[in-house]
Amino acid sequence: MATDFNPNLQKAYDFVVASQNADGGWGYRRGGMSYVEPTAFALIALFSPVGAGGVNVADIRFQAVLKGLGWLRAQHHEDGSWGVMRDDQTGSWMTYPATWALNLLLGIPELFAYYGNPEDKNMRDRARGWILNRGREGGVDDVTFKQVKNLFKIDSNLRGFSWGAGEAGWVIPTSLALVALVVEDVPIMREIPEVINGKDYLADRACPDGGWNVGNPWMIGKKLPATADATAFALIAWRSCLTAADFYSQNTQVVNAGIDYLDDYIKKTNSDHILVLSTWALSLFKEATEREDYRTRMVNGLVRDGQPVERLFTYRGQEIKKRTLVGQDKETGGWANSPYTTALAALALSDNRYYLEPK
Amino acid sequence: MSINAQPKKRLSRRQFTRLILTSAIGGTAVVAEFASRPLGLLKSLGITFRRVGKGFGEQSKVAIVNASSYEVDLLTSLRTAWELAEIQSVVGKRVVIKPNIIYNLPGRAINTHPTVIEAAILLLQEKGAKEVVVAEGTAYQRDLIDLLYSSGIGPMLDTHNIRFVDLNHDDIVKVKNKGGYAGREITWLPKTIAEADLIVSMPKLKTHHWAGATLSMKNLYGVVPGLKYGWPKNALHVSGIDANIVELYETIAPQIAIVDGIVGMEEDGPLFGKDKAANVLVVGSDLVAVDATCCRIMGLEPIKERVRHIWYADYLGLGVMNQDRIKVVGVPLASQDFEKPPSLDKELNRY
Repeated sequence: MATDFNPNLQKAYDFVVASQNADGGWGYRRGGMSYVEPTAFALIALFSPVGAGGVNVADIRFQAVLKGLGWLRAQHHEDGSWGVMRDDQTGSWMTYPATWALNLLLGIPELFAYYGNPEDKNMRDRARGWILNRGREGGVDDVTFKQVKNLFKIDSNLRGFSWGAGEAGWVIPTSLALVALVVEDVPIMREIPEVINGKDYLADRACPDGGWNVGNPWMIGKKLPATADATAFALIAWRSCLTAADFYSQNTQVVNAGIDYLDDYIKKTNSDHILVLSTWALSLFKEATEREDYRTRMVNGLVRDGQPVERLFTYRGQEIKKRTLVGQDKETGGWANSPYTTALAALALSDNRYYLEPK
Repeated sequence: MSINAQPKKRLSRRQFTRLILTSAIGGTAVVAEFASRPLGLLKSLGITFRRVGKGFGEQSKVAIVNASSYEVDLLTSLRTAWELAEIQSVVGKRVVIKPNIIYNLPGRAINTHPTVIEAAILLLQEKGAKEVVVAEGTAYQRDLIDLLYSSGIGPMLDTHNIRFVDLNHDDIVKVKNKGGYAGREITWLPKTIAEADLIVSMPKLKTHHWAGATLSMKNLYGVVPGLKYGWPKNALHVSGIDANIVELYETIAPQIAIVDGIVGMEEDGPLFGKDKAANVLVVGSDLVAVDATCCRIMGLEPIKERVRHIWYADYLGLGVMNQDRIKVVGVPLASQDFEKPPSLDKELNRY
């Protein structure tokens, strides 16, 4: 019989709500300053129909979402962007997850009825404009194109999305931007030139041995290996952008190689955050049995026969045992004492993909 | 119609002279202001005075001690170097150790070795530091837990119960730049760095394909938060690697350098070069002098064309790079003739 993860999910929502800052935002760790990205992901997680987006929502969750949205709206800049936190007046990559959250709010009627504001659509439209015009990297001249091709074996005419306006594109911000754009209207936005070009960018930046890193698969003739965080975000983006046409292109191979890389990596990681992020990404591609395995591991951490397992390290000949993967805290319901990681864990546990296909 | 012609007022000789002098002074000031941009006249004058002061001051002390491997007693070696270099007191201070932790490429001498960091922790505790924290904001990945464990640094920190701070996801504060060399008035810094009394930069002795060499000043790139400057901190590359390195050096708290030169990296550093043993630890509180000395250990003269940020920091009077202004204590400086890094077009920094 399949494991019921709903109790874990509910505890995760409770942790997210309990770790909201007094100003309404969320941080990367409990008690840490409010940033736009963790606030956006906390909201995306809480928007779940079994979180704070369905019927009979507990008042404490309802108030948390209202307050969180209030904080997010208050940080929005006139030019359509968000900075990384309250005092940051320049546009940043955190515009992408914030727009993602706003698109869910606008795309799910029940959510909008609960939490929407008349100005949300205008805010989203301006955000989309910023992403396409300022977040997206510019083109390069022919000389630079050739030099970059020579040194890094990448096509700099493919335009990704950047961490800050006017900079080069990189894999994680490109992935977040693609999802933010596509969830506005999945069938239409998947086909806009900027999204298709962004997918080509991700395909081009894939590491030769599978997966993604920051965006440099090659460094002056040498392979730069993939990293788990970039690979996970890229796979989430692929899941939202894949169309039938991709199954007849090299994109399928690139995605499969990424899945293989992450599937291998997740067995070795010592990071609860990476375990959570990888579980989320892989669960979007895997069948129910494998999804359950990933989720069980994510919830329980490293266990054998129900007992916690420590990993063994050696330092200067001395054996050091440490339980690096703790999983979900049984008391608080959180992962790694982080509302950000816990919000991602809630998404990883959710079979309802409202966050990629809002309706 | 009559014309009421008034006699033309003529300047007296004194007035004429005053006018010429005022114009000359004003004109010179305008020309000097433009010529000294982007720093401006006042800043340039300040730098000139600082440089002149460095020229007359005491030599900067840089200590070099031998360490044949990572298995030997590094604490004693480091204590000797610390005392020879006459490093300031750390009693009661909150100290942040900033090692160089970049990537997990097994078998390559990329990251600062845990045994050297361990020796620094023990020494700082022995010298009376109030708190010792190890912190890094790695450039190539958002989560660095796995990197901590694969590099051996995580287990070492667990052994000593030392707190580690991920600078990329720390709370951040706005800090006014002291130099203004990179065209920005402020830099966002992690609170852990902004509130530290002392930062110990602990790089590995490596060549660098963009910057010529990556040592204690370049290592400071790792303190800026990825949340704000992205991964791999390319916002700083775009606005000038050299300018940003010296800006960080001047802006953040007083610093000390401990360079892991036991096994360094030659040729295509900082990631893909070849291991090269130099069997030294290098210590000092003038990071310009430490880095210049390390370059010479690698057989790389820190000239403007090769390791520009060291030259630039010297030019700005933030330290000294000329050998006659540096007093090497401990073992004599011996050049190891590291293979040089490839020369790349600086225009490609954005990638």
